[in-house]
Amino acid sequence: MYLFKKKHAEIPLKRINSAVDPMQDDEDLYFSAKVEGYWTTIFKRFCRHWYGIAGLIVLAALIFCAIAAPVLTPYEYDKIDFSAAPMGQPQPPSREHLFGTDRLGRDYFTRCLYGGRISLLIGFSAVAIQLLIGIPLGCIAGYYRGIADQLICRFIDFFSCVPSTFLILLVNALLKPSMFNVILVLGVFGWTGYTRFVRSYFLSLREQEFVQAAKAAGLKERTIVFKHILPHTLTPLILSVSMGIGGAILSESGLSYLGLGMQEPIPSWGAMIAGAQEYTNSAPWLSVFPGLMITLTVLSLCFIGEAFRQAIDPRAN
Amino acid sequence: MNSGLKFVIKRLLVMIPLLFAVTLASYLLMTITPGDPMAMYVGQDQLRQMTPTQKEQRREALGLNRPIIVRYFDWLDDILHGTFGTSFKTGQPIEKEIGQRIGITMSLNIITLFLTYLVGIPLGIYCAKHKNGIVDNAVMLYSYVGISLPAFWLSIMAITLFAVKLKWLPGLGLSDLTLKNPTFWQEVWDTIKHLIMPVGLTVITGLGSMARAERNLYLDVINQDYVRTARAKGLPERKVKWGHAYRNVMLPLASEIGGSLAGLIGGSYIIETIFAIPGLGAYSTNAILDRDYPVIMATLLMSSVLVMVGYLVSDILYCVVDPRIRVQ
Repeated sequence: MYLFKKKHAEIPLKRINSAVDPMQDDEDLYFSAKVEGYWTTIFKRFCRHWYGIAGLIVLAALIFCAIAAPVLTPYEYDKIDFSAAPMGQPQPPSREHLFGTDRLGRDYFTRCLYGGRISLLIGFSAVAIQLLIGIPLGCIAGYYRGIADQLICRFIDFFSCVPSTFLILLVNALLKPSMFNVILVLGVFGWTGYTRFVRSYFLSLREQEFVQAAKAAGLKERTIVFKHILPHTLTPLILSVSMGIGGAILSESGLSYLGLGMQEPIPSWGAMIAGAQEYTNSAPWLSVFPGLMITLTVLSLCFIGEAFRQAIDPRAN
Repeated sequence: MNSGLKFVIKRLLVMIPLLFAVTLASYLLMTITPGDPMAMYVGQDQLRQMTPTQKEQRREALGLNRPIIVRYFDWLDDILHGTFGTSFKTGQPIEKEIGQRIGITMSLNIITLFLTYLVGIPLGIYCAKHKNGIVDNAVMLYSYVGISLPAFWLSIMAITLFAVKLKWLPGLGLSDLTLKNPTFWQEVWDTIKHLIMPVGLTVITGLGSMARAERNLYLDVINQDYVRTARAKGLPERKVKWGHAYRNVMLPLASEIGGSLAGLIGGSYIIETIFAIPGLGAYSTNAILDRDYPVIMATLLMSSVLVMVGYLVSDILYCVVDPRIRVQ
């Protein structure tokens, strides 16, 4: 329950010994003995797992590549160059074109890098929208209970029995395919999990003594909800967020594969796989590379999530 | 079983307003989309050939000039009588087309679910017994690889490898149409060959998460007080395991069947489309891509009903395996 009290984490034994050593009767030292903060402890525990570090490094590299794409490659993602693909034949990987070229002579490595921009942007923004809708609704349902809780729960029930893949496909098909619409649809149809999660935490936390104490002290309800209860749900929420971003990236690639997401010439990994489908036999690298990029991105997010789970609850395993 | 029956009836009653909400949502979605709703009843080609007067008469006869809420209840009435209208694309009655496909999707998903449980549960228990061993760690990492692989990409890769390059397995459809006068066993073997890839891929990707969930459950249960009590009073290990531990490990699994089924139905949209399996998933995806509104409405309703039935089945199973639910 004291997760967020800074000076509560493991105090290194050596420091305590020196601090209480009667030979060093120095009050200053006693009170200035450095203790680890909560997040430092979490980070140290996180680093114990190789897959957490690997996930972090890979994700950082992918984000770096996405941002620095124009600097990293001399080509443009939509520059058609028939001299690089004679007879409209995709070229295999070579020194000039690391991942080869597609049938229009566009450098595939460049397209994969720019595809990362699209996927990561959509993944992060869609989850941001989900959180913006999901967390406040979860707070309201869990803290205030009553009719609001009933309404929100019935709404979640409704969403849980309609396959969300269907709704996402359908609404994307009805709207004009664009990045903004994909983000909006993934955000609007994916928040129920977060609401359920926050709500369940609120239900148990609102009965705890520290909330009663806060109430008795006459704090505003807003302060109690946002400063005293909500922070307790955020640490476990990070876990679902990293999984959620991965899920959104997978959904986007599926949508783009079916032609309901990003449109040519914008390079999206899903759309690139769809475009490469007729060449799976003659030019397999065209579908292998974008698929590996998707897997790598989602897997790094999953690994970060798992290492984080172990870090916040070392007894879990 | 009397109070158990009451529980099931209560769950059924909860389903009714949900079903109502789904029908309302799909009807409203259809009416806000562009196009003449009459096309749904007479077919798009015939609609184009009709004169304005004919259209007006027909509209009157079909009752389409009445307020939207009345039309909604009419549509509901039609559905309750088993008519969903005609498909824009094929001009066939939708209920007939759904009837041919729903069995395929259901049996495909049930086979997949069965195989995932069949392999996932023992694997999970093995991992729990050899906690933090090589197999345990491998399964944990593998479960994340399983959920990270995009299903459509994996399917394309598998078709390229096994059907196009190696020619071991057929790539598309459910049966080989070139087979002439096959015997019964030839037909069975043919169907199995067609199922290996779509079912196998779903099982392989879902297996890891299943095993991991089962492992965590088992570790939870085995450390409970009643298991220790059972051991302490001298029950043989076999009885402790089968009578006390496994039974409680199965509990949450029963309640998860509904959720897994919902997930599988969600996944079947893309898998069925890629493998050209004539099921409900491919049918709905194609309807969405063709903007075939009557079919979209009907399939949205049908897949929601399937998911609800899945949840109901898991409620009933939960009631069967956990006597405490019946007492409450």
